[in-house]
Amino acid sequence: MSNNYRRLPLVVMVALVLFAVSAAAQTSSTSTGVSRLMNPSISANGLFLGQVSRDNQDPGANGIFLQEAEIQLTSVVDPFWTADLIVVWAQEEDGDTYDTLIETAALRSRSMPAGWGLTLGKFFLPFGKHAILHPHQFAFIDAPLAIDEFVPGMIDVGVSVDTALPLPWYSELVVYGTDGQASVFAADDRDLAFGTRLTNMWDLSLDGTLELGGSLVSGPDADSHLTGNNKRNIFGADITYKWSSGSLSQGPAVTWSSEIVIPEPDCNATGNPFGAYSHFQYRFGRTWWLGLGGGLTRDKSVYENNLETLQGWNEAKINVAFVPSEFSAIRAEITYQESHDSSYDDLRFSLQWNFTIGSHPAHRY
Amino acid sequence: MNFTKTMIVAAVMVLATAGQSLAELKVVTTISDLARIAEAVGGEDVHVTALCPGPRDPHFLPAKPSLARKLANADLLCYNGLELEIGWLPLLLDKARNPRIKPGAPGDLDCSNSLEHILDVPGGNVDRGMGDIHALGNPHYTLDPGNAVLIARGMANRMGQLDSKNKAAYTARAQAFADAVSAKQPFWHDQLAEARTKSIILYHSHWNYFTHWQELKVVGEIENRPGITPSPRHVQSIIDKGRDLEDVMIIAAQWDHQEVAEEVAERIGTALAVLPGYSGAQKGTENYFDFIDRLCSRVAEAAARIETVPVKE
Ligand SMILES: [Zn+2]
Repeated sequence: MSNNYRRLPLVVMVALVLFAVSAAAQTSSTSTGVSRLMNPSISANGLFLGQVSRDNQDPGANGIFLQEAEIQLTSVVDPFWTADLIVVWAQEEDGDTYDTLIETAALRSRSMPAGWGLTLGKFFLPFGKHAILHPHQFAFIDAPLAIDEFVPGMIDVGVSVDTALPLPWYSELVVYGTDGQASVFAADDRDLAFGTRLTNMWDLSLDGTLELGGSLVSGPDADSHLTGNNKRNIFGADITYKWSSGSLSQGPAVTWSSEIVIPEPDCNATGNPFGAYSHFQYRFGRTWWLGLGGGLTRDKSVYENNLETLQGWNEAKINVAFVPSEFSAIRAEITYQESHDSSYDDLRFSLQWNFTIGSHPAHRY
Repeated sequence: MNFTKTMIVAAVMVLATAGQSLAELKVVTTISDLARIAEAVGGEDVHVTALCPGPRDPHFLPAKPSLARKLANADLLCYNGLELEIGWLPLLLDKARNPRIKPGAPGDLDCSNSLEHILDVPGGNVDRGMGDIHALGNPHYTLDPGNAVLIARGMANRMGQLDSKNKAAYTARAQAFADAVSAKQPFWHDQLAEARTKSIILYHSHWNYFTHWQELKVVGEIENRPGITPSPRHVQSIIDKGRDLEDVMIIAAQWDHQEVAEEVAERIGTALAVLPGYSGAQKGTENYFDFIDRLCSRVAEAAARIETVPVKE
């Protein structure tokens, strides 16, 4: 019972703000006249995958699939808020059924004092560079092992506050408190999750930037009965170099991004689990990109000859993407994965294509 | 003691920054042309920064957070509008956290609102089968110096509202800019007398305000669908068209994929003029008048050269 009270401050805060907002908007909407000009910006995209696996016989690993379809609505609400709603129909593991996910349903402040930003609702928790991406924004078809293993489904309901730090370079701090229902945390626990992220960026030249980020999130541990930890604390660090030609329109470009994710080890474990990846992308023609990636995880202690060892996976990927416009892309990819102890490996060939329709996409940096 | 000292230093620093911000209006523009016009109008009463470097195609400026820092302190944002900056300016404004320049605020100036005529406003149905089209019309209006004058007056108005004690100075400088443009017009006009008798193939509709202003005869575009690599079939049809015409020349921007423009020029057997897309896109065009001079002189020079280029099969 006392656990219920721990989330009280957060719930009261969210409830008060939402009440204030909804009190102003209690009327049902009209569909005539100038009201139609106030329709939100709408965009939609579809992501398709054809895949064959050398050794994996799962139905979800072989075949042609609609991976996901997504609808995004964005609009200014009133002088105080902008709202985003993103609904996704994502393929489940079996390859046949679809899950409806509300990826984002959030209010974002428009006029907070002193440059503070406030986000209220359901949103991607800002952990690292990859956990915040939609699948159609991934550098490769699948998320890196490290992300899948340690920070999957980082979406939760709560409050996030952000500000730019008064430093000589670009530095942004985000602090958030959420319900603790993100899939990485315990689904039935009454504790909240908290986290923070610091992003720093420097211009190395007119056309190149270096980004260094650090992330921390802490929430109820889903496996506390196994791990002996009440909290699941996860740390992350990332480095990204970006460059694009400043003199040729849609010319050569490079993105090199690496990230490490370190969950706090189990109380009764001896090894230190972690996951890391490095992705390199190069635009070599106006409509062509080449990608090279590698990653690994070390996790799950097992006993062998009375010694506890870390198990894990390694992977390497290469892809070529054809991007005829900002609104569609096709890519072909080869992925090699092996278990750390070399007892299992697999080779996968994939072809993925996507489209975006509706309002113009922003070129996220 | 140390604490008191720190507080005093901090207070002095805050006052110093405040004093600085009172001294001059901090103006940020998106493209370099608008920066040059803002400098002409603002003179010593403003400090002007452009987000997009001259050599970079503003359709595809990366939304670097360091650019958001430039916006964070701005008193006035002058942007091109007509969706030229749609891929990156909204993101930067969000990161800038500056209420003085957010949409609808006094520091938010869409320069396209000062125009009298917008070219290439699509009539009827538009869709992206036509490429990444500018649905509100052609946004490259600063290539007509007449439009630059209208923008200068719009800027003077807004600067005067934000900084009323210098209102008269802004208006006077906008008038001086207008006079300087008027004084140059006959020269620019005469320079292109020969080019006016030729047919022109553009790489991209970027040049429509320039060709409209100079009454040049445009007969086709190599990149007929904006942002999309032209198909070999379309390139061939442009070459065929060029060969059928008496006197034809090609215009491309320095950031365009010139191998295509060069191939078309070679196979027609005509001159290619590679022009700076905006002020500062080529060396020696940092000043707006030098920039317009360069457009005119390069086109005039190419028009005079058409006959001398052999046809390559
Ligand atoms: Zn354009």
